[in-house]
Amino acid sequence: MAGTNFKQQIAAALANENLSRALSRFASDYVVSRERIYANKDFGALREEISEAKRRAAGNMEALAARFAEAVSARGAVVFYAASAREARDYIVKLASERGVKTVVKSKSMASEEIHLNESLAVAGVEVVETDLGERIIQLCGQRPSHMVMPAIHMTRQEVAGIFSREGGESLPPDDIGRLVKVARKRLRQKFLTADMGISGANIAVAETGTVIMVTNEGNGRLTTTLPPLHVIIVGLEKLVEKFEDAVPILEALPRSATAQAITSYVTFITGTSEAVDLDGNMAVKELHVVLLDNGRKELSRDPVFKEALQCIRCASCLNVCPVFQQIGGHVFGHVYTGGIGTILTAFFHGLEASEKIQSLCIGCERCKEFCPGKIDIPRLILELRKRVADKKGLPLFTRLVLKGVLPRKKLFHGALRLASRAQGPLVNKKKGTVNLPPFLGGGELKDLPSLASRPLRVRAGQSAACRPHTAAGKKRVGFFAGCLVDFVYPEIGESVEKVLKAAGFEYVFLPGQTCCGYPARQMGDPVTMMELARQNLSAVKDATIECLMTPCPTCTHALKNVYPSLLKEDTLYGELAQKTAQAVYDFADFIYRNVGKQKDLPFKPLKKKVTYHDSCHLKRSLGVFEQPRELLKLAGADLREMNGADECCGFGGSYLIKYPNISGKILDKKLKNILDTGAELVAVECPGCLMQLNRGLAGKANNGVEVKFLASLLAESLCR
Amino acid sequence: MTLAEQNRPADTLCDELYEEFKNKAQLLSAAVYRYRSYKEAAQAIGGLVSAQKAQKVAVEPAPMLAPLELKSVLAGKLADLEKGDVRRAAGELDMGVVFFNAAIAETGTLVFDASPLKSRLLSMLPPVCVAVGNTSGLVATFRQAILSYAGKNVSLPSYLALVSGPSRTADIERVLTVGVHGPGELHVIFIDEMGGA
Repeated sequence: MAGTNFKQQIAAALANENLSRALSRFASDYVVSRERIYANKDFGALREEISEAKRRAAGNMEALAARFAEAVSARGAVVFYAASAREARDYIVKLASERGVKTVVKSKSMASEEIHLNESLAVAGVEVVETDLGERIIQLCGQRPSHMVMPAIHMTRQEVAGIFSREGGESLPPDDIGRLVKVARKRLRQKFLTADMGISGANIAVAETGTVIMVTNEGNGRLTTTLPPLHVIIVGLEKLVEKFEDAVPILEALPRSATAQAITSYVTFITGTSEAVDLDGNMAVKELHVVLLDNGRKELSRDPVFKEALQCIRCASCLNVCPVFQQIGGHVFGHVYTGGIGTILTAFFHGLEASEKIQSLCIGCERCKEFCPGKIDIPRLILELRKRVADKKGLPLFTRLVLKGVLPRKKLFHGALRLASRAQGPLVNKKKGTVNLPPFLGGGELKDLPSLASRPLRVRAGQSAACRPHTAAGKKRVGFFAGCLVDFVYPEIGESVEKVLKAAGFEYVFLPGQTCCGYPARQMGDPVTMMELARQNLSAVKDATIECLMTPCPTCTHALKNVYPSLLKEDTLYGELAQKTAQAVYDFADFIYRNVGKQKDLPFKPLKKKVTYHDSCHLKRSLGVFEQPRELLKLAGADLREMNGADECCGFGGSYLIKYPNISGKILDKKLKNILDTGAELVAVECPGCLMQLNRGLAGKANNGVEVKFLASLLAESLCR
Repeated sequence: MTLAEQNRPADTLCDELYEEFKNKAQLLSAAVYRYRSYKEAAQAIGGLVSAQKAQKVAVEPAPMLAPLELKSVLAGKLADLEKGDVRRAAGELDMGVVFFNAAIAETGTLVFDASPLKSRLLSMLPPVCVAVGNTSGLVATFRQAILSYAGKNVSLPSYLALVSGPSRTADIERVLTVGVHGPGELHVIFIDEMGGA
C-alpha cells in the first residue's frame, strides 16, 4: 500500500504544471503522429515479428550471450560478463583507473543508469559527461530523467537557459532554444575531443555477428563511439537477438513507436574494433570492451509469466499513452525504468520491494497493451506483480477483511450493502442523488459519490410485475447479470435494459444467485477470492434456464468472458461451465446491435440531441466493442459528436478512485474537457463505473448542462417516448 | 522487386527511387541533387563551397571519389589530414566530403561503410557534410538495405552507419533543432555516371 512519502511525491508531481502540461501535450501529439508514421506499415505484422524474435532470444539467453561474446571477441573486443550491477560497475571503474582515464563521454545508456555507473566513476575521480542533450541538462542540474526517451521533457527553455548560464558562467537569453543547442554543441565538442573513454549503451545486440546497434538522433552516439580511443559498450542481456535479420522489425518499430519517426538521424552498427586516434593523435586500433549485463535478466527469462517483459524494445510508448503517466511523469517511479514496463523491470533489476508501491499506480485501462510493439500484456504482468507483492507482504487488514471475509459470503455482502443504503440517509444529497462520506470512511477528497439505491435491482426484479420472469413460447431467454453497481446503485439501468430487450422480442431473466464478479479482488492482488466468486456466479448461471447472458457492465463482461475461463482452467467442477458461459456472454450494445440493430427494426423516436460517446476501457480494449454503441446511437437519431481521446480512461478504475483520488481527479478533468469541447448535450456511456465518475465530475464543474446517460437508458427513453 | 518492376527499364526505376529518396530526405531537411557526370558533380561541389564561404574542406580518400578530381576544384581550400591529429584537424573544418555506399528511398537514408575513420570524422565533425554516391546505389526499402548485410558475418563492416538528414534534437521543449552534435547541413549528391576505382 502506498506510504505517506510516496503519496507526497505524487502530490508534488501533480502540482508540477510544467510536467503535466508537457506530458499531456506530447501525449496528444504522439498518438496522431505515431498513427501517421505507421500509415504504410503493418503494425500487427511488425509486432508479431518482434515478439517472436525477442521471445526466441529470451528463451535462449545464455547461449546467445556466449555466441555474441565469441563473435565480438573474434572482431577484437574484450567481453566481460557482469552478473550484477556491482560487477559491471567495478569492471568499468577498474578499467578507467588502469588506463589513467580522466574524462568519460557517455551517450544515453539506461543500463549505465541502472547500475549507477556515473556515481562510481565520480568517486574514482573520473569526470563523466553525459552528451545526449536531455541527459546533459538533467546531469547539470542534478535531477533525474522524467521520461525514458525524453529525459528533460519536464523542463522549460527558461530553466535550461539558467542551467547552461550557470555552467558556463555567461548569461544566456532565456528563450532562444537554437542558441542553447549551439552552446551545448560547442561545450560538449570540447569534451568529445579530449575525452579518454567513451561509454555507450545498445538498442540491439546481434549474437551471430557480434554487432551492437545504436539508434540516436543527435549524433552524440557516433561521436562517443568514434572519438575516444577506448570504448565501453554496456549491453543488457535482453538486447540480444539471434540473427542479423531479427534486428529489422525492431529497427522499423522503435523510432516509429518512440518518437513517431520513420528512422532516426543515425542508426549505427558496430561490429568489433575499428580505426581510431590515440591520445597523442596517432592512428590506432580502438580498444573496445563489451560489458554483458545480467543483473536480474536471467531470472526474468526463467520466470514463466514475467519473461514476456523481455520482449520490450524500450520505445516508451506504454508511458506515452498511459493516463496516469501523463499526470505524474517518471520521477515518482524512483528508478531509471518508468511507466508500465518500468514497473516490471524495476521489480527484477532492483528487487520486488522497489516495485511494491509503483505497481499500484496502474489504473488497469489496458491502453498500453494496444500500442506495445513487443506485444507485451503489460497490465496482466502488473496484476501478477500485484499478486506477488500481496502474497509476500500480505494485504492490508481492512482490504483482507473485505476480500476474504465479506465478499465471498454473498448474504453478508449483500446484507451489508442493504444496511449501508439505510445508514447513508443523513449523508445523502437528495437533489443530486449523491453522498459525501466522512473522511474516516474514505471520503474527504472524494466528493459526490452516488448514493446506494434504496431498493436494489435484485429486490425490484423479484417484485415488479414487469420484471417477473414469464416464459413466452419462442422467445429467446436472455439472462441478466447486473454487476454490483447496477444492482445496488443504478437499478434503473437494469430496468432500461429490460425495456429494450423486451421491445426487441427477448425474454429478460434476472439471475437471482448472482454476486460480485470478483474482478476488483483480482485487481487488488487476490485472484483466489475472484475464483470463489466465479464459482458462485457460474452456479447462478447453471441454475437459470437461459440461452445467453448479458451484462451492462464491461468489467463484468470481461470477467465472465475473458478471465473466468483461464482462472478456472484447472477446476474440474466449473472449468467447462466457465468456457461455455464465456461463449454466451454479451455486452448490452453488442447484443442489441447484433440481434436487432442491423435490421433497424426497433421503433426508435429520434433523439435529436447532440451526443458524444465515451468508450469504457474494458469495453473497447478487452471486448472490442466500440462501433456497435455508436451505430445504435445513430439509429436512435442522435447527432453523434466524437470527442478527442474518446477511448482514454475517465479515471475511475474501481478501487483506484479511493486509493489515488487526486490522480483519478486529474485524469477526469482531462476527460471532462474533451467532453465539453464537443458541445454535446449528452455523454453516452456503457459502463456504470464511467457513469459514476463522469457524474461526479460534471456535478463539481460548470458543465453547461451536459448530462451523462447510460446507453441502455437513452435507447429505452427513445423507445418509450 | 515485383515482376512489373523487373520488366521496367532500369533507368525508370532509378528515377522513381531517386524521386522518393529526394522527397523523404528533404522532409528531414537534407538537400538532394543528381548529376549525370562526375564533372558536373565536382562543379556543383565547388559551387557549394563558394556558397558556404567554406575555407577549409576535406575529402575522404575513398577510391570512388577520385574521379571527382576535387583537388583542382577546391584548390587552396583543401585541408591536409595526413599529418598530425586527424580528430583535431577534422574538428576545424568547414565542410567534409564523404562517399556513401547506398541510399534508401523509403526513408531518405544514406548507408555508409564507415569503417575508415575519416568517413566518420568528415561526416560528423564539420558543420556541413556533403555526401556523394552513385545513383545505382539506391534501394527501395529499409528492409532490403539491412537484409543485404545479413549473412555477411566476417565481412560485415566494423562500423556501418545509416544517416538520415542532419543531426537533430528535440530535447528542449520538444522543439526540433538541427546541428546539435553532428552537421547542421547535409547535402546529398547522386552521380549517374559509373566510375571510380
